[in-house]
Amino acid sequence: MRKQRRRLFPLLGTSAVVAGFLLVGVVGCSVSDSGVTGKGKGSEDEQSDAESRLGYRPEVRNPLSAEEEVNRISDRVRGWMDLKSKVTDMEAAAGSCEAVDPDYTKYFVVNHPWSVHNVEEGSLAQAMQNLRERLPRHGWKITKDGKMNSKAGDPEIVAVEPRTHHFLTVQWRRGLTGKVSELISVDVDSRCYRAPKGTDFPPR
Amino acid sequence: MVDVATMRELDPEQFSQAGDGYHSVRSMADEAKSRVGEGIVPKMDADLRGEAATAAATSLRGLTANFHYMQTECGLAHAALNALTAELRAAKKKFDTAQEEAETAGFTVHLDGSVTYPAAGEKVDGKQPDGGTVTGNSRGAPSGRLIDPATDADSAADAIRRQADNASPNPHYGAAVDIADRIAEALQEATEADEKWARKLRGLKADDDLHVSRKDWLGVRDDMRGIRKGAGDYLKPPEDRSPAANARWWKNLSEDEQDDYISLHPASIGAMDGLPADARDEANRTVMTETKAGYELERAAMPAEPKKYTWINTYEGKVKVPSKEWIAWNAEYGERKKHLDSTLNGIEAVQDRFDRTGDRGLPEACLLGFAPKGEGDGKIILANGDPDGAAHTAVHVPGTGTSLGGIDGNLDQNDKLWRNSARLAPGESVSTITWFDYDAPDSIPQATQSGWAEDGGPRLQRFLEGTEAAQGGPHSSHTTVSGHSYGSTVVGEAAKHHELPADDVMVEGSPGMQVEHARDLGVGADHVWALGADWTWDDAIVRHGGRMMGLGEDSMIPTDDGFGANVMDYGEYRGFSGHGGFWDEEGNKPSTSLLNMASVVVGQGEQVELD
Repeated sequence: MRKQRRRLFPLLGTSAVVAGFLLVGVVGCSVSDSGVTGKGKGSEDEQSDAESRLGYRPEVRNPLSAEEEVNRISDRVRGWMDLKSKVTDMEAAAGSCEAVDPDYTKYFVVNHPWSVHNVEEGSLAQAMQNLRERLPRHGWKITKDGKMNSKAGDPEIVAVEPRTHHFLTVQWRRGLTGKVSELISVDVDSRCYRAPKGTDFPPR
Repeated sequence: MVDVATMRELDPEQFSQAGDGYHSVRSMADEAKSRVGEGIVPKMDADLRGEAATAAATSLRGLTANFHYMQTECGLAHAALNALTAELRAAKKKFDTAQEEAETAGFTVHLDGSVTYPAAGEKVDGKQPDGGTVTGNSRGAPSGRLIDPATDADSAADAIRRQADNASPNPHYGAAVDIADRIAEALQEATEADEKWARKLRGLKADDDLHVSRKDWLGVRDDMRGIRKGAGDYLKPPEDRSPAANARWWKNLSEDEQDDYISLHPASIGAMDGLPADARDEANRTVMTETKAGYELERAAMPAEPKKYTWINTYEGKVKVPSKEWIAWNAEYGERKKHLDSTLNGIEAVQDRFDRTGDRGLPEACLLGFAPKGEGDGKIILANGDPDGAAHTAVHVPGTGTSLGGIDGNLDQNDKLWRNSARLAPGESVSTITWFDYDAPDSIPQATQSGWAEDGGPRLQRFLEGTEAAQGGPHSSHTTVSGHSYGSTVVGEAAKHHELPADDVMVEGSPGMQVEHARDLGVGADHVWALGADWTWDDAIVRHGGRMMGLGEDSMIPTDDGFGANVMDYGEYRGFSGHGGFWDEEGNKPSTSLLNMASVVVGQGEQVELD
């Protein structure tokens, strides 16, 4: 399924684009936006600013405990998949909440990208099926259960935990030509949080 | 002066063995440097927090620098001793041959180098011609001047001696003179080698404090120059050969010679396409450390920049103008200061990347190219991971406005590409390389004025051929060549000759690739991937501006349907500027565009999400 190619500024004449084009001497740099954490801004202003950008008010959380929580979710997801297989050994880690604080001074998100591979034939299919059944049972809401928009059209499940607002993206990549012929990549991600005052930040 | 007795006892190999000692120390320092800098410090950074941990890590980084200094200086000592050995070996051989010939002929070689020959020949007036003693004459090295005492006087002496030779009734006379000459030459050569290298080796002695200062590193550069000059023909890197020929040349050197080349000619070795990544890395780190020391000292010696503006009174009141002092300062130092600042920023960015090793799985980095000037804006080629053993290699060409001073952003993007690629290819090694070795135009309008890509394309081609040669051939690694913005035009320039050693070509925000169809890039249209940041103003200006300026053939750019490339999904809307945003992450979660690029890099084209 191919989307209609979008054309930017379809109504603008050539001359307008050229004029704009010549105005921009240096390209490759994006317009800098230092986020909501400007100097002299009160904490309340800052929080409301963040809220208007994100569509929610970032919860105040200790980064280390937020990381731990995501690690626990990953463990649970792994359990639901019910695989005895090799898992990449990375831990969940905090990173910058781009929309609000790209300089990573107070606001953060937690992500945990990992993948499973080297399993018995057919067990990844079972793992996907297990997720399909068990995620809703544990309070997760599946928002996508379909194919990736790629040539292979591999299966993808996207889900959200409505209470904690964590979200989960699971892709089953099949027919690979490298050392492993298939793998499931998993992303567990949090929303943006704000670190409490006086916390060691960034946490690492 | 080396005399005959010393020469008889001389064993040049002793010096070579002494060199081996330095070589062991050098290897030990190299290993210790890696263990501390790439093993212990990153682990401490990752696991420990607090003031004590930070202070300890800083001290250990200092220790790493000490090991690097030790490694470099011991490498120089090794090279110097090898050069000395080579020269002494030649002198000793000449001496031994002459002495053997003398013995065979029944002559005697005296301690002062003179040669006695016996009476011989037809009797003259009933008496056999007497024997005699001759003293040799060593030829000095030609000075190259118009009247050269070394050659002119020597040939005059030769002529006289030849006359005497003909005149002497003793047939041994000529042979004795020849032998005595060669002995004198051998003694002279050994003496010169001894004097020259004794001075240079003494120069290598370090001061005895523990702090390796910038001045110490400048000293390294002077030592290197001195030894390189002294070594003359002992080590001369080849020039202007193909990357494949360079690879063969390197393979045929002994390990000793390889190390001496790195020690003595780091700039040439570091820049030589076709050589193994670890050799280039070691050489370039030395060049970079020396450059840093020199530039920091130069910057510190500059007078401070005066206040730029001053107020003057005019009819219309006070007006702000540049001050006289500033104008004078700027004329003298302005350009140079900018260059020093930019280069030092670039070096800091590379150093920061070295320090990030281990951070969320990031592998060691290889500095495959470094030059403060390069093609104009400086040169940095930095690999995440070792490309020589990589199953997947990506070579990325940054775009408009890239300079050494701003390279940190490019290196950061490359880290993201590596992490996401590595995750998609468990059990396989991935190397992602930032290739900045062309004079990047500062803007797209400027890019259209002259042949920026024409200069960069062949250079990129050479680098790719070199990488392929070092990896062991075309099938050793799956290779993706990537270009951002104007970098994609450089890629197109290289690829349009259909000889690009690559499996996939990938472009981001491309203003045109100098061809009208993906199949003209020589890797098959199926293996050409294009990304555009739709609905962002800056990316539209670059891509459609490039179209109008004719950077693509027949007004075609890679994101056009008619171009025939796979157009990848940029993904979620992330603000109205997007030309620099293809590598975006939210925290550590890759954007769709970044994950798509990673899929291409690890050969998962079938998994790329299409636009």
